[in-house]
Amino acid sequence: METSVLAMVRAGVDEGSFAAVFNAHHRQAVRLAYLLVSDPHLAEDVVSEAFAKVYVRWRKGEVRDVGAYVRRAVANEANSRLRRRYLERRVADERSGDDRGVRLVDEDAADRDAVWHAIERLPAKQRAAVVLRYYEDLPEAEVAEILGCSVGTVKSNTSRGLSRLQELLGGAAATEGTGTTRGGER
Amino acid sequence: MDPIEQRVRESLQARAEDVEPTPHLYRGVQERIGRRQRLRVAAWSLAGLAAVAAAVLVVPTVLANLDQRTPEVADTPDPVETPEGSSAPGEPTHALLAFDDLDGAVVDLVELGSGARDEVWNAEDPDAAVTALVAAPGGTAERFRAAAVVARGDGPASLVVIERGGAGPTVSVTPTSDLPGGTGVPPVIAISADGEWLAYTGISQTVDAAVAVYVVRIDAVDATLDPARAVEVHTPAAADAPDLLRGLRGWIGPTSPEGAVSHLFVATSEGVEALVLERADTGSGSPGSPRAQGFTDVERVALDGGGVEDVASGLVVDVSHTHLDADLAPAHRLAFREDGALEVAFDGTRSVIGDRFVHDDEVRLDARGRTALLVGGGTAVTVRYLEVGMERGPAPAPEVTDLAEGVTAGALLGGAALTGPDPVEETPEEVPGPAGGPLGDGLVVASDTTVSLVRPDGSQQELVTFPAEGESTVVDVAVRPGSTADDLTVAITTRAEGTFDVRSLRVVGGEVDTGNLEADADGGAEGTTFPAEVVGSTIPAGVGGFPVTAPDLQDGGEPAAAWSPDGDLLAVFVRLAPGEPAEVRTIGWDEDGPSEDGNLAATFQLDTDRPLTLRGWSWTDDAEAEVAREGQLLLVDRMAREAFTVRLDRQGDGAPAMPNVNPLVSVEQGRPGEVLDLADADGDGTVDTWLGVSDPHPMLYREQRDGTGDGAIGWDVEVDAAGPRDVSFVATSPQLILVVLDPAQPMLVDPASGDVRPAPLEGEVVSADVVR
Repeated sequence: METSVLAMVRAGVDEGSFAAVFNAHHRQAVRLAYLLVSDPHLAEDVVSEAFAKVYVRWRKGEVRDVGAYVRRAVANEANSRLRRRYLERRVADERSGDDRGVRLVDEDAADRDAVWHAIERLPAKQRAAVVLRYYEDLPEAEVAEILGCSVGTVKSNTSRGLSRLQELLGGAAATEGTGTTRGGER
Repeated sequence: MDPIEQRVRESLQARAEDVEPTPHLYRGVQERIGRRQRLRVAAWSLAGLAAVAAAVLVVPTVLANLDQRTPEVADTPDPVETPEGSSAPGEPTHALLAFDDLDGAVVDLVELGSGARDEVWNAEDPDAAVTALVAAPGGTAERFRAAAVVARGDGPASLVVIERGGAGPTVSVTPTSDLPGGTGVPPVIAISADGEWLAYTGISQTVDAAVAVYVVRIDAVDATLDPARAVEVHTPAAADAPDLLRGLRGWIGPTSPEGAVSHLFVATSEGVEALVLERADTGSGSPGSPRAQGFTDVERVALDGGGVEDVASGLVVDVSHTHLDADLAPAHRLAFREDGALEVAFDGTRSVIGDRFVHDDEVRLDARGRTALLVGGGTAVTVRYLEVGMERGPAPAPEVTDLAEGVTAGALLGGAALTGPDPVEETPEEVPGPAGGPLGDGLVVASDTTVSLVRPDGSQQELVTFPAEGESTVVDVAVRPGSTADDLTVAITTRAEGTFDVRSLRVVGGEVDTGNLEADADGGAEGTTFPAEVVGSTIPAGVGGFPVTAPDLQDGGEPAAAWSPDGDLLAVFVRLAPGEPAEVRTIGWDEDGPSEDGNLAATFQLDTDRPLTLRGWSWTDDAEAEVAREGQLLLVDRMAREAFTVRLDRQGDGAPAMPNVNPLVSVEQGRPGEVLDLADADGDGTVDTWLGVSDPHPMLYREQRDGTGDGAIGWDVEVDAAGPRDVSFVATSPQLILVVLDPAQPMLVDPASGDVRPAPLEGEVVSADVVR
């Protein structure tokens, strides 16, 4: 925190304002980026690039809602990197096997951990929709605006993401809530 | 809140709280800002993307059916010394860039190698902004001609002609309100290859509520525009719907001497049209001016996409490239991909531009030779292709260089001017058919009573004939994916005596398989004489007690079958009684025929009373290596002339699954007309959905998805310009499209070029599917 304030002081008048903008939003931005890319270093890289882009618009007075613009820039930046990582992760998963069945001492922590690992395995757009809906608590319309797609697509990606999470989390308990009719019914 | 939602929320919150920004983050931001603000940054190579670029070679752009004459390349005026790093003759050495400075718009001459700037023109108006900038091919730092659109708040925009000759720049500023059509429309502009003419968009003076293209001569002496010489030219798309006109994308060919023909490329949101202009001293235009040839001579330009399809916003037909010939004009293109990355393409080389632009940037493109200039979001970068072209093997990734920040518009100088002698007329060559022949791997076609196989060589083999006395008629055929002409399975839906039946037919080793004829004779082949294995029949027996027979309901839609993309499941859409929910039934399939795996035989209800017909089943995810897939059925309501999708997945054990709440999703929104049919074709990592549309002229409209989401591109093919007709049905594969408007005149469409030709089929075709 102290370093950020020092950076603001050093930044001069114009950038000082932007430093204030940065200070107000960067923590949330890093957390969002991390939830989208899983890697803290990559998350900071994403956020750096996002703020650099925000700066260009902010300097021109074109950014009305900095928070929303930062979210959008982070989501866009993360999205382009996430799909490649998703593919890499799938390969890694195939090598390491499924971690279902791992039990930690703290069951709540174990469940959160299992859910997180399942989230990491979602396709990029499903993951982005789920993170923005359930971490940022954004309405579907705002998620759609951030992701540059329709509200229907957000609904679809969120729904598919949740279904996929239940599938990944496995077991009969997961199947109960899927709202999916299984083949074999007559 | 759903338990899974709660678990997700808690997990995300817990995970996020563990993350804190590092103290160095702001320094990283500052460094990036500084990097963007520097005027020149060492060129960097997309080395990491080289493999990707090498693997994804696109077919060179073909301007199909464009009766284009070959312009001669004239001497480039006053060639300048080639700067370091630029080796090809005629390659651009400088760019004109418009900057949004605090004091107003300025246009600078920028050297590409060093980034050195020299002010050419200053609007001296803090409210002015340059929104478009074009330069005539062949320009150099010492001698060029350019034009710009200058906007001033809400007032009328101006057209500015900037010319640099021996003594220095000469500038002419012409308010568009003084020009025909110049009020109220922010114009877009193009400059002719010889720099003598300017085209701009404006309000039509002859057609109400239409946008027209105006062509006006630039006076070579003092670089002024003569309003009296502006000629209104129409492009059909813009005349019908002004919003469709997106810009002018290049101007090929000379405008002088008399009789010379040039093509002005007009981008619309539906594609690119080549507007034919002819220099004439008589005719509809003013004396000595280019003459519009009218609607009938406007040619639709077919572009081979290779995935970079946003032709309306990101296409430059390269007017200076020395490879330009009668039927191949390399074009630089750009588009944002679904993952947000900006992709550029040129002559077979496709590359991703890293992090320069965000998806909402309106990126504009200019190009000369092997160099492209991208301007958007205030940033200008150049992309230089070191080697291009498929025939030379995998090409290295282009060199991407940051040029400047605060840029609103730009144009490259360089290339070869295309003025010269009257070009020689060339006979356009016939567009070649798709690989493997025009019939691809073959077709299965049905008339009312006969199902036939059309082999790739065009020979036709009758597979099944239904007896006329039973009044059986074929309503649908669906070929199992993975089939070949010699070994195929086809699901046939017939209507007879008030019922629909679905049957399957196998061809093994080129012959119809009659192995099950006797066994099924009692159950399903009653009244027929054809050798077919029976899946369902007038007596609900079928395979393993699985019924696929349905009554012929008035307005109830026609039952039909569709295969999963891998052929492992067959789905049948039926409605058993009026007012009852429609049903989707599935049955597993393997190489020996219907599967005995009961898990694969399922029935799902759809709460809809629409008279739907099943037209296909495709996967919508990218989990190619997995059994579990997300998918969708394609359905059409022929009465309402609407098309829908509905979700049908496959689980990890191969069993089909359908969400309980599973609404029909309309696919017609945003289409130019009523959707009459649709069909999917799996391609190389992508799925093309071809929609048969009537607007009222029949069109094919393509959407493409690559498994990463819902992104789509549009590309239309006019299949019959003779008059309003309906598309009966469409059958597709990556190699060919069969489209039927009139059963007696089916047509084949090459998906790559859009070339439409009569299908060499005998008899009337009421249904067909592609062997794939």
